[in-house]
Amino acid sequence: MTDDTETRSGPVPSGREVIERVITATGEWQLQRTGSHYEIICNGVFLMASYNRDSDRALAALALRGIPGQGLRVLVGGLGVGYTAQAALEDPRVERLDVAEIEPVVVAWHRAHFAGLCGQPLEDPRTMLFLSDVYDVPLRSGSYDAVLLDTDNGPGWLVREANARLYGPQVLTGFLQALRPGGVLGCWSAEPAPRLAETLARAGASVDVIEVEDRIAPDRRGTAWLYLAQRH
Amino acid sequence: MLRILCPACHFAFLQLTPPEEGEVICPRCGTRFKPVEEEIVDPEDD
Repeated sequence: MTDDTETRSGPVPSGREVIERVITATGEWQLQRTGSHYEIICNGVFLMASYNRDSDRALAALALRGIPGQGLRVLVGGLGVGYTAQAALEDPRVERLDVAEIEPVVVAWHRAHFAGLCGQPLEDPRTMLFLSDVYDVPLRSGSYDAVLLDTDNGPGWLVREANARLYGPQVLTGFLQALRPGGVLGCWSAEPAPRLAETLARAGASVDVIEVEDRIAPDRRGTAWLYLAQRH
Repeated sequence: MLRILCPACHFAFLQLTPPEEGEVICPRCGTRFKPVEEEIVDPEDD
């Protein structure tokens, strides 16, 4: 799974305790702890934390709220802590949840440290784990009711340069085409992303931009931006 | 696409490419194994 593993104990200069640091095919991943919270750093960039709960859950809840019908199929790009996946499963209309996670070590950390916080979404019989880049998940027209992207801190704050392609017009249009009519493509961003909204609108979707309050540090609240693009 | 079943914990997961060196590590229990019950699947079939 990993090419190199380094485990440290004791505080680092930031006051965080490094639990594990690994180098994999996708880069350097670090799990660290601050108080009762965990944070994941990818390639030196803050990626996610156990205190980033409200906006991750809102991504699923608000996207699904606007989708009609039953027997919904949802694709989540980026497992992260697992909050988005769990929030999707809490909608009883969700029949199947596909979770694409490129990095096995994130799955391992999820199981060891996060699953208990978010409700163990990978154990739900409706869930199927794709151990792959969400970019590589085969998409067919009308195969999902919601596609929820939370792979980065947003299109302007990537953790992997390769993820820039996820926010380009070709791939976003592909995600929209994978939706059934009325389906929603949702993207999470830590900062305003007006170009993303423009790209989604140009692709023919109705775009809502929603600001959600969330913790951006263990003791500090801030704002996350959700871009919800509904296919006609 | 390959559906891989862990022989230890029976967790099923999908992988788009064949495992490197024929081995995979179960993302649930960490068991390293050579899949024998893998099959090409269509995600629409489930």
